[in-house]
Amino acid sequence: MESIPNPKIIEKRAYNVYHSDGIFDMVIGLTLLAYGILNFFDMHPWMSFVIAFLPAVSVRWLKKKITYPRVGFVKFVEWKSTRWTTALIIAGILMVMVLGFVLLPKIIGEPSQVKFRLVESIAIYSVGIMLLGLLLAVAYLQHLTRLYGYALLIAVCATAGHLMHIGLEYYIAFIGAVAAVVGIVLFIRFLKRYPRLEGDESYAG
Amino acid sequence: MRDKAVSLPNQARLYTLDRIIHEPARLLIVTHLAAVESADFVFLLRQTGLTKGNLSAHLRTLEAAGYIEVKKEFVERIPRTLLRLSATGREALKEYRRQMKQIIHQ
Repeated sequence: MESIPNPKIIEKRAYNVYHSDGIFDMVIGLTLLAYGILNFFDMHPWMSFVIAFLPAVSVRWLKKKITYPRVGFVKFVEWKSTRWTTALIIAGILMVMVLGFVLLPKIIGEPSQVKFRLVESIAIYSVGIMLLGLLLAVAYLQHLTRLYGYALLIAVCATAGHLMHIGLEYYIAFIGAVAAVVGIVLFIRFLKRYPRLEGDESYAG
Repeated sequence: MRDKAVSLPNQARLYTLDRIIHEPARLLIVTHLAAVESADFVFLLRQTGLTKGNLSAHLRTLEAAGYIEVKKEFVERIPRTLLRLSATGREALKEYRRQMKQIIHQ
């Protein structure tokens, strides 16, 4: 059956081409870096703008101006609900495993004040692990291998930051800087690989 | 050599294959469109590696057969041709894949 192209492989390949432009990595990386810097200088009012609006607007705008003219416009089939269910199950299993085997045994036998603090920190861990699980699930289901690297980096930085009492802003800025550098490298490579096509590219049929 | 030869019933099946889809370039186009909801001309140009003229000619054939739907629009005054596999085209590709599987496996 090698002679008949497989639509699933083609879909994955096209999806990977779309995300090889590094725009998402670059924007998210710069956003995290900005968040770390603004947090360091206590410029909190700017943070909501940087986090909520900048990535959404800039990714869309850059894709439209840079990616579409080079690789063409494509509308992918929406992710099926079963895929999302799988992603959430993977995230859930990961969360239960970490909470159940690592964190919960720590609570048992502690005095009530310590217990409250631990429960509070477990809530923060839960959200973090859920996000990490989702990142891993998306990486696995969409074959976006570099997301594994980000997941590992987040896990290592968060654990090291917690154990070594490093401020949140420092390791978020570090993760952001790494993602931004990866994004810039991918972006330059993408521009070289896919030069803008000249002339009228529309189908004249 | 005898084992590798296509058996007589399969030879007959080969003649019943859809000639519009059986052509390699068109098969590539149709499979790409089957993998996505819709795509434009540039996307197919990049993904298939065909020349503009070649791609246009094959798209005309597919459009005439009713296998693809073509929608022309302007995005910020730039023309864009959106292409989508029609229900007929999707069914034809499905049938082609089924026939090819039978021919290869029997």
